[in-house]
Amino acid sequence: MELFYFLFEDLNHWEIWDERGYTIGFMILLCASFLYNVLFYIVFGRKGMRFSTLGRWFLFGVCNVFTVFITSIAIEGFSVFELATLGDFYYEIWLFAIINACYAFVLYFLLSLAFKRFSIYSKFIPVKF
Amino acid sequence: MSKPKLYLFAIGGTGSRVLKSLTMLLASGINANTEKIIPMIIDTDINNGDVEKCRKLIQNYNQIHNTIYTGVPDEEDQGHFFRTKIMPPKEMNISGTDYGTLKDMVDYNSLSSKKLNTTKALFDLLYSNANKDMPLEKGFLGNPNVGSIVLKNVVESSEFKEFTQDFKQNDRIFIISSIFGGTGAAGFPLLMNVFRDENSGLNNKTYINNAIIGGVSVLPYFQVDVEKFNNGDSAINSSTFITKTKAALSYYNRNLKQLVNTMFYIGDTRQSNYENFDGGIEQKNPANFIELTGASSILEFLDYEPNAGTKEDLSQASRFFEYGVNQDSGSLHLTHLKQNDHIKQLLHFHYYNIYVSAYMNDALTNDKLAWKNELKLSNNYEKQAFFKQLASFTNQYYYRWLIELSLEKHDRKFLPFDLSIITNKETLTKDISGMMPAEIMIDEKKLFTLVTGLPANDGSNFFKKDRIKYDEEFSKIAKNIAAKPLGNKERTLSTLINQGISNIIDERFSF
Repeated sequence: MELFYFLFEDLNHWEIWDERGYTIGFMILLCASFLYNVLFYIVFGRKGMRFSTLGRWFLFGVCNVFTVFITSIAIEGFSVFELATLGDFYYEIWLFAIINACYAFVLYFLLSLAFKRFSIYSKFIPVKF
Repeated sequence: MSKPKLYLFAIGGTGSRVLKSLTMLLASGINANTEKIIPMIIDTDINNGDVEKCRKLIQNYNQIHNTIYTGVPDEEDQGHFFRTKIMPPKEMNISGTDYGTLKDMVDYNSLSSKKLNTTKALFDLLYSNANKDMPLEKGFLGNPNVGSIVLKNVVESSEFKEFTQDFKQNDRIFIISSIFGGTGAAGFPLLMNVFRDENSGLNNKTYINNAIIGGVSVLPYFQVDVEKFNNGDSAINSSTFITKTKAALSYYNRNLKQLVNTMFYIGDTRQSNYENFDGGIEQKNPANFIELTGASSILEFLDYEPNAGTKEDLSQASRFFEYGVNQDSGSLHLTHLKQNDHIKQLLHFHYYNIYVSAYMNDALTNDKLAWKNELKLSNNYEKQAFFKQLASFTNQYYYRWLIELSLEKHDRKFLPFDLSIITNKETLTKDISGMMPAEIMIDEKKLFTLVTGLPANDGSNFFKKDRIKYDEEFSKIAKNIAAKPLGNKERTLSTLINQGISNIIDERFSF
């Protein structure tokens, strides 16, 4: 997992990150991107054309980014590192959440390529093939 | 037995205008029990504006029909827009300009020198000086006695000979004419006599003699400005229409009753008021509900004893029909029509035209639109000929036709749809060229109230706003339609639109 998060390294709490931090962060990333793709392509993308525009797809991607960022911060800080308040959060937790959020958009895009075929109205979003 | 061809003789201005309404009915997808319709236009007024409009309309219809249905078997795509084949009209236009006056045509001045004094005397007895000196270039101006001589030449035209050569067993003939004018009133009896004449010497005489022949005779349904006649500015006097009609009906009763197999009489006591033009390019009378009923009589004729191939096969030698509406109203709507299939098809066609004029261009320029991509339409499809032809039919002809049917000058208007969506109605009415496109402005709410007296089902409530979504419906069915082996993209697109609009109408309207 550390290979996936190669951009991020916290030598002070390496064991915690290695034991749970990376895995949970990755699960958050995966679940949120999966959820937003299911929502965009299967729930809304088969119901009607209301969301079937590139703009709306991008908006879902941004929502995914925020969801991953907030969830990563919250779970890593409060649950994994068991810190009491936001003020106690290490700088590395914030950095990790930002990197996870960046990955979230990339993963959202990649999953879109796989999910778009299940949609009726958004089948050709974000790319036409 | 394969479907017969229909040779449709459209005589005079009324003939062309009924043909125009027929084209609109066929464009809407109403089934016509025929392999193809071959219009034969007869008019001595070669510059007649109505004929010119009709010619252009059929040309546009044909471009669309040929693009979609060339090579498609007859039994497929029945009920789809533009499905019935209409051949380019054969025009047996005897140019009155070539003849000059009636006197010139019969070589009146040399009759005495040819020792044809008896003929000359008979001619003088039958024709007034005004008749004899009347220029023939603008038709017969309400004088069927003049027309009966001149129109004899139609039979000698190459187009008429082509018709007799192409005529096959079981083909049918239908004649559209007005009874109160000149060209139609003269042409109908003349053609009937030629078709039924056993000694005529026509090609395929036996087939033509035995063919099932129908006709629609349009009784007076408009009047023209009498003042122009009184001032000598026009030769047409509408106050004589009724007298002429009575005389012609009496003649038909004595001489034609036994020749024609199916005869439709159509007229209206609520008359329209037209400007008084002696034919020519200025004669562009607006479409009229009577012409629409005349057109529907042609479709009824095609369904009349469909298994009969010749007049001998008919259960009755002759039948006569009239057309009636349920209610004597000055403004007729779709619900006043008696044929349910016509109502449904006209409704489909209107929603189709709304889509073409207001939404289709945007859809075709949307790269991400599902149905467009499922059909693999090219990026610049909106600039290609097919879309331009569809848009032209809708914007230049269809809306104009609806506007004409609803004009105030008709004492009985046909107003099936809300025309407030056409923003340049006034300009269109004044446009003589007939080529100005209609401009449409429509919002989502209006889509529910397009049909006069027949609102679409609206599922809106406090929490949800209901919308009629064309592209959503099309996208829903696009994958299945794209998978069908339909041959070409235009047919696939046409099938998608037909099917999609049909689903919308079924969901929104109850019949």
